[in-house]
Amino acid sequence: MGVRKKQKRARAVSFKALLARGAVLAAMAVCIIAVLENKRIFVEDSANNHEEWKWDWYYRLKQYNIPVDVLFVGNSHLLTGINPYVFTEKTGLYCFLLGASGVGVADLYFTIEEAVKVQKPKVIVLETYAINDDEPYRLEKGKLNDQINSFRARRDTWLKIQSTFSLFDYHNVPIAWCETFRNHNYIFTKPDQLMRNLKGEGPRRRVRNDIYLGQFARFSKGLSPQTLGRYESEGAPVDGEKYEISKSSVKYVGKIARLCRENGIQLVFLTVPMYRGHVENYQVWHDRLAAHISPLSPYWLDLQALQLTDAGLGEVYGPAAFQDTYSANQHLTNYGMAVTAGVFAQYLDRIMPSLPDRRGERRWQDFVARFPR
Amino acid sequence: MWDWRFLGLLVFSSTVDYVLGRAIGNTGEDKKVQRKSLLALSLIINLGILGFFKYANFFIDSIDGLFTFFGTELHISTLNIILPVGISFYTFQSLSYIIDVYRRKIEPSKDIIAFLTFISFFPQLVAGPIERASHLLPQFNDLKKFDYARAREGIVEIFIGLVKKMVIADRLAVYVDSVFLTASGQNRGEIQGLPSVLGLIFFAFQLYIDFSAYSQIAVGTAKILGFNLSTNFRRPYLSRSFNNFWERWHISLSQWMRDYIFIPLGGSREGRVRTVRNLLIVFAVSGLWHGASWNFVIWGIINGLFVIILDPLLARLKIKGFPASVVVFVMWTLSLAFFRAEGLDAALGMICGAGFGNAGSVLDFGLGGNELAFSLAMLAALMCFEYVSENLERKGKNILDMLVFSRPAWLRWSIYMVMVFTVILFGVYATNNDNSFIYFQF
Repeated sequence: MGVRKKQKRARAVSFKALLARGAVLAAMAVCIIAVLENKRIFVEDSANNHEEWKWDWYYRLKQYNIPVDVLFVGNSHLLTGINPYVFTEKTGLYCFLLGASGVGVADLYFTIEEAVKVQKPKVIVLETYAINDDEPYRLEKGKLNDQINSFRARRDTWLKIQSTFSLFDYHNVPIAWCETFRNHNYIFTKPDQLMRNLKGEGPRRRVRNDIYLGQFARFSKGLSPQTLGRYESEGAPVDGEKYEISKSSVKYVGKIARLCRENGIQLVFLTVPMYRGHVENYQVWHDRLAAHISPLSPYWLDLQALQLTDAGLGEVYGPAAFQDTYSANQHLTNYGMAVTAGVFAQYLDRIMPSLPDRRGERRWQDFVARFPR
Repeated sequence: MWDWRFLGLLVFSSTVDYVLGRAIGNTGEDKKVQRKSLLALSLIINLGILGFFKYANFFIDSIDGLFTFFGTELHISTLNIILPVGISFYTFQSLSYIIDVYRRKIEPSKDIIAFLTFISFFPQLVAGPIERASHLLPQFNDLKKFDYARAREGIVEIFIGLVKKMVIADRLAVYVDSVFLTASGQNRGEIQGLPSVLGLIFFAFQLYIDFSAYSQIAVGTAKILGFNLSTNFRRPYLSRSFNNFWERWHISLSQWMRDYIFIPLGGSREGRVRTVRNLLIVFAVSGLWHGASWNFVIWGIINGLFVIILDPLLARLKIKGFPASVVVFVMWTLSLAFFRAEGLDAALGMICGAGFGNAGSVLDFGLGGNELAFSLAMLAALMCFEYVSENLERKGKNILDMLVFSRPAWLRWSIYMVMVFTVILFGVYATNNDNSFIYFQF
């Protein structure tokens, strides 16, 4: 063998050795992280793990052979906007609310994709507030946490892998997948929690055994006279002129529509209202949204628009129906979510009279009888 | 800021310097005017681009302010310009090449690919070290062979850089950002006593650790690829004089300023007054190089004055060794108030507010007790490491050889794992903070 050839081989071996050693070191690090993850060392106690409850109960319904007829999907506006128990009782259908606070339509697409693998609902109702969200990979920093919570709660690992780079910028991927990366600062900020977890006494998670259909009953107090006064003196905090639909929204709403079509599911859009004085120039908002979603489904119940034009509805959606806030994100109160469930139940009955009425079924009656009162 | 369109700018200025460098090289000594014209053309193009992107708004604001001072309102609107990333660094690198060619210190490059790579060499493009063509350019002509030991050293350097940046500098940044934000806001009165002192000291360390970490990562990356970059920092906080400090801090810029501004101005050979003038010019330019703001100019001039006034004073008072290092560090730290603060008022507020009272509000600026204690411990450990390293270097030994590379495999590997997990578990990431390297903004 020539000297050059020998030198070349020595270099090749040397480079391979570096790669091999790097790989061994990386594998050792991954193993240690896997142990930390498995023992949930960097997970906090939680009594309100809504995202986990939701998927837990969605899968449980499958296990109990209870079909989900109507699947509502959306962000916090939906979760605080529809009372699923009222809706179930009014329609004789089984329903469920999926989604998470703060997420955009890209996340909802993957939520729906997992949901239809588990159950085949007859109707999917997409609440429109999530549609105007920004590009998913450019999440506002405050929303990243919500996005991660939603992502981590999903159970289909393969789908999670597929959706990772659609939902997260590359440098947020490790945080999305790994609690050790995400919560490593507990070393300084929550040492007690860490010690409990290391001793095997944590993290404590609350499991819900009462029937949970995904709602987020959060606001009991309606608009106060002070806030109503601000509408008078300062005008509306939200301007429909500023409403814009991002490219990713166009893409993912289209994908949701296609997914529904492929699975024989009827897609319905729902706009849960904010207080009538909360939004100005709503017609602009409505028109922009209509141009986007009308070609995808003939059904859209826009309660924001309807409460302005329908006097009866406007009366029902009085100050008691809305969260007492002047900030841009206004949600419905518990009363408001019950009202919306009733209004949407009537709407669905009108547009799809062929949906089953299960009120005569013993299983449905037993199910409803176990609702939390 | 990064935008792909700025690539055209980089290619344009590099190509111009390549062409002008060849032209200067091919022009005989007898055609002095022609050579000077070519050099002037290069200087105008390079400094013109730098001036436009970095200083246009500064000059507009300054002229506007000057006229307002004399009672005339001009109302000139500033331009909407984005500062291309690394422009200050690669412009100076390119200038050093063309000036060295003009001075016949180096031959003009005949290989345009090698030259463009020299200007845009990615490990040091964004924040230096500012390399000389005589040092880096010939390395592109060598056949690179993979060297396991070098690559390993490079990787360890990168990890040390990451530990310094992510574990120490970014944690200090949380405190510093909070203190300086308050100092420039309506609640500036809260920055009194110890929070002000800690804010200033932490910024002195943040700046050093952040920048030296970047340099170390750049050097390590280049090392893996078979290139040697210049050392940019040599333990500056152990300096015994201000002159010595500038031989250890941002060395590549200090040497650039010395070779291309200070010496051409006459250096220190033309009497005391000229030397003082030259030093002040160099430090003012150095300040302005950092940023288009009077704060930076003042910071530069203050440091010039330290060299002019305090160095002789230290010598006269026979302050040496550790006390001299403390004096240098304290004065440097105070000067940094102008470097970091938003506006002169905030800077002066930070300096005037410094003291040892108000200890109760030390924990009100983003770092809890555990993190503050950890940060202080890390700083103490770093300074001990630097001190030992300095002493070993005097004896011709390298601390990394002693601590890592000469150790048995099991210990080496344990050290590697400790470094990896120090970054993972103690690094500052997954937060809402902007953790960019400080010198990226220049």
